[in-house]
Amino acid sequence: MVFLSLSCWIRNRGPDRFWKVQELLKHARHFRGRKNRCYSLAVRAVRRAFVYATKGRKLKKRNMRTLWITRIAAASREHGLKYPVLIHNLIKTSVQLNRHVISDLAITEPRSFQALAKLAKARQQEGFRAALGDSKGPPGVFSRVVCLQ
Amino acid sequence: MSSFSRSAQQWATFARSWFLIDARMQPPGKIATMCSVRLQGKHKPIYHAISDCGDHVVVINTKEIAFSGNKWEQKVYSSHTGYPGGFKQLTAAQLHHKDPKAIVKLSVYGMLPKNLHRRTMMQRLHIFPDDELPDDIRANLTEELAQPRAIPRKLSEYTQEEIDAFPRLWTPPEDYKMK
Amino acid sequence: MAARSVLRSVWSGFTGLKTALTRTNLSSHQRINSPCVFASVFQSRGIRQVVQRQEGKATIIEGQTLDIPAERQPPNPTAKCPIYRWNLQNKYNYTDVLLLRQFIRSDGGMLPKRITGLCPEEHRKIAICVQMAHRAGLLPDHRPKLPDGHVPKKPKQQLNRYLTRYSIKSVKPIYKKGLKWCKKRMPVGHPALQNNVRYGVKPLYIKH
Repeated sequence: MVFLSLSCWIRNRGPDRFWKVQELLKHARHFRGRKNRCYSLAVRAVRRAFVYATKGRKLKKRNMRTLWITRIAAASREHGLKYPVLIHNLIKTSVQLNRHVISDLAITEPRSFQALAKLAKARQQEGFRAALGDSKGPPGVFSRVVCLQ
Repeated sequence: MSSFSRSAQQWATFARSWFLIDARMQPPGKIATMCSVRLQGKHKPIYHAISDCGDHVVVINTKEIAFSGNKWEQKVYSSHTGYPGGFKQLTAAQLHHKDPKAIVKLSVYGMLPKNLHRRTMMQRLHIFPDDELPDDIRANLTEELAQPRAIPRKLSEYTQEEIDAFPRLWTPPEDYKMK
Repeated sequence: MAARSVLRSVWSGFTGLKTALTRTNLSSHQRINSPCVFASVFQSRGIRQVVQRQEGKATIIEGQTLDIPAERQPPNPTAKCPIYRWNLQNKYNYTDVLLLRQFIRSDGGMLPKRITGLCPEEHRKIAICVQMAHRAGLLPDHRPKLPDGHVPKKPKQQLNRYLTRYSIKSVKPIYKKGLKWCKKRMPVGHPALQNNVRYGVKPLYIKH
């Protein structure tokens, strides 16, 4: 017999069924009630828990995105912009930051976020001017909107 | 990380500020949206649902809120005492007459998320029927929020110059006796 | 809103005047004599006032021309209805009390439309706006006169309201709201004013 490692050597003792139960109870130890020690109850609970975990991996992404959006919305309101306006104008100016990064900037680097908000605001004003038919951009700025006019 | 400057920054970030809202001639729903955002802390970039970063909100003049439409008569607030035959229904006008703070309180309570933090957040909402505040609350106030609805001016509040400056859209005939 | 649009129309009127003036100037290069005559005629117009002054022994009696601001010209003077004459269709609401006060009596009722010249649709809309303004308390002095010797009772607490469509005594509380798909709604504002000009993106929602 070859001992690959210590753990395998430990599992070598005792009947197989015991180790099967231990493998499953390992995932149920933090459950509440008899589920964390009785196999027949634990097996069902662990199965359910794994289903929840699978779904939760999708949900986590969704929830994180909503959290970032709430944070960006709060930060952009401080600069007098609404969230859709900010994001739309950042996309128009081809700022390739995702919401995760922008919300991190809003928390840890308020000045950088303020610069982003100013940029979005300038782009918004430019868009308004273009929509009103005034094809003159700010001096010294080469803009795609004005060129398309 | 543990230096004095960083800890001061931490305190400053998580300090609670106190907002003042004047509810004179304002619809209670709009007041309630402003309040619930501040109470949850959704106006801060550090927001997280379980980090309890909400602020205090003081609402004054709730005696003089305004409802649109005929809601004072049509809107009904229902409650149940728990006893048989204990179903109470009051119109908005009756409830307002009974307790001038109740309508704003109920509308804010309904707009907060339905979880265990709701009662805690409601404890940070301070409602006063008129504009007299106790001194300890007045000392805390940091910011007054703008009213959500622009109050239209009464005809008696216009000055004579403004009335004269408005053009006469039509002139009555000479022989017509104006009442 | 109404005030703003009136101002705009007045502004356009001024610009029209300016262009007219420049045109007369241009024509003055061609004909030299006529503009002077025109100017003198123009100056002699207006209300004049006799002013008497005493300077030493001499008494000076002078006719001074009062500069009265020119009556504003409506942008569409041919129309019969005052609202159409000033291009104010769908541009007024219950808050424009300066406009509404011109169409009501001192006791708050509407003037007849054969006097004001309003067309039936606009008369109805103005009547609706006046009613809402009364209920919102925006016309506090336009009340029916109380009979002589009337001692008013202690006033009840007034509830603030706006956009009130029905009279206060006529509506009943909605005790049973109904099921989710056929709820009884509370109307806000009036459907006749639904086409009013709005500058927001939110759709107007009059059933709360």
